[in-house]
Amino acid sequence: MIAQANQKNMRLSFEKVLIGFFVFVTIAVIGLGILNYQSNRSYHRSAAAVNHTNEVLKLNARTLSSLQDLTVRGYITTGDSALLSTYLTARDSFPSYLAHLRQLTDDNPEQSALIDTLSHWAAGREALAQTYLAMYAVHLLTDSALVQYTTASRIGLMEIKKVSAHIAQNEEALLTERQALTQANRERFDISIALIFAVIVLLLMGCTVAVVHYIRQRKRFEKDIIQLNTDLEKKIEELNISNKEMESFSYSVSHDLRAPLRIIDGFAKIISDDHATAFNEEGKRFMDTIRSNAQHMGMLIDDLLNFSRISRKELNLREINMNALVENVIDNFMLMDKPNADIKVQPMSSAVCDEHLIRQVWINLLSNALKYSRTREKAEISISWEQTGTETVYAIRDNGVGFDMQYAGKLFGVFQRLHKASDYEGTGVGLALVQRIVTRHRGRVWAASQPGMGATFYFSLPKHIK
Amino acid sequence: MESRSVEILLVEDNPYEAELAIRGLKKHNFANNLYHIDDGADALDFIFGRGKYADHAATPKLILLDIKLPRVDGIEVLRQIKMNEKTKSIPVVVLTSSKENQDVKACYELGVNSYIVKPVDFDSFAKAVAELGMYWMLLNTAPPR
Repeated sequence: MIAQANQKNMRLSFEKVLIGFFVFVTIAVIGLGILNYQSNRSYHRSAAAVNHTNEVLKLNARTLSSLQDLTVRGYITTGDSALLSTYLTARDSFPSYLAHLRQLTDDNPEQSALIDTLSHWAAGREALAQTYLAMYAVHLLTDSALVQYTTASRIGLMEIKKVSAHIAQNEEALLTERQALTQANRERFDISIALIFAVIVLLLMGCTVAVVHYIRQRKRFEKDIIQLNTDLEKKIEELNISNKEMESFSYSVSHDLRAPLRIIDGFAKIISDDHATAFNEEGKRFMDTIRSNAQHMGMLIDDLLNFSRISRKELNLREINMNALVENVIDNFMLMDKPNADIKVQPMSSAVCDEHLIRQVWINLLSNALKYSRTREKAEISISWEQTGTETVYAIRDNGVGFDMQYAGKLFGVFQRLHKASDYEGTGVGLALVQRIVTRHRGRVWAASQPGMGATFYFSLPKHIK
Repeated sequence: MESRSVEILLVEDNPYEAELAIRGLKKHNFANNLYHIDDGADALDFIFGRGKYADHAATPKLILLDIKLPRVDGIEVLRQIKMNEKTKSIPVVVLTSSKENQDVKACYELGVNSYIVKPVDFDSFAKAVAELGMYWMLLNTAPPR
């Protein structure tokens, strides 16, 4: 018992640990999932920012190259129209480059300010180029003017390069920062993936431990069940042995107790017969007392043996014709005892029961009814029945001496009698036997009476015995 | 007693029971040629002319047999009587206190001729003994020798 209790405690604590483990794993998986989702998003965001910065850098370089081409010095010096077209391309494209650049960096006030400066210098450079191109067109361009243009253009370009370099420098700094952030996010993502993997491994281990535990437990239970079955079989065997012992006990009772009684009775009879003259009336009465008591004890033994035999007998259930059974019992009584009785039987339908045992019930109830009605001028006995929802109730009513309901509880006890043995013979086993048989059929027995007003005995058989 | 003239063999270990049975038979003059043995093994010796009964060839007309006997029980005695060609035609009446089904069944399976449960009431017992003496000794025709 103690071992079992320990085992139960151990199982309970194991279950608690297991539940705790699964709660922990669930929380860990949810937490790591959120971490993983967030670091993944941050990684993508910072990666996008790096791309953006790279784009800005590329665009800045392209803008610078376009602004470098924004000069007519080559064309007005050589008159090469290819150089003019280079200028014209730059002139058409730089405003859109600048606009794009402004758009890409409008979240950064420092860059925006630099782009304003760049735009200012670009506009100046373009105006200069326009002026000198116009002078060239009307052939007013002098050598000194060309030198002037060259100088002004160089100074402008130097400022442009300076601003562009500043822009690039700012973006480079941003790039470094964003690349570091991207790297960090990437690492966070990798760590969360590794942790999720670790938790999954942990979960698998936990499951394995639990499965192994429960398999072992199941095996242990199986062993226990086999053990219990073995114990049960042993108990059944012991029960069979004690049943056999009981049988051999009643066998001995049957054989060994009756012989001395017969001898007592026999020799008392011999004395009465052969030596009657040696006794006076009182002596003869004593001898008769010895005999009647020996005979009574013989009846008690017979009834008790009958009682124990019927208690042990297996029920042989089948459908029987109750009417025929009752009529047969009555006919036997009329033939053997020739009682002065009027017995009425209500027609009954068939019933499922053990015919031999229920016959004994009717015999005992009818002999009781006849016995306690014999002081009447004519015994009037009626047998009726009633079908209820769950059972069939049989009743046998007599017009005999009846009994006081106060003692109704004693009626069905073994050796219990409500009347004096000198008034009504019997051993007090008959009704106990009735009760035993009916109870074995899962039915009930009861009785109702008033002293001097007759008695009614009832017994019921359930609709479905099995 | 010359065993050849034995008509009834009573096998009963309880001397008082035997006395009562003999008395019951005597009343109707069936006890003149009655021999009483109180032991199963002796009964077998008597019936088969062995041991101390080696000199006597006895063939009783009727055997009254109790079941509970010292040494060899009544059912075994019955078995040996009914399995022997020479003795199986002797009527055997089991006279016992036992009403147990197992005994009744065993005896009939071995071919007992009658199974009488002794009543406790001496009057009924005396009547039963007298009636069985009457039936087997007077009414019944014995098998030819």
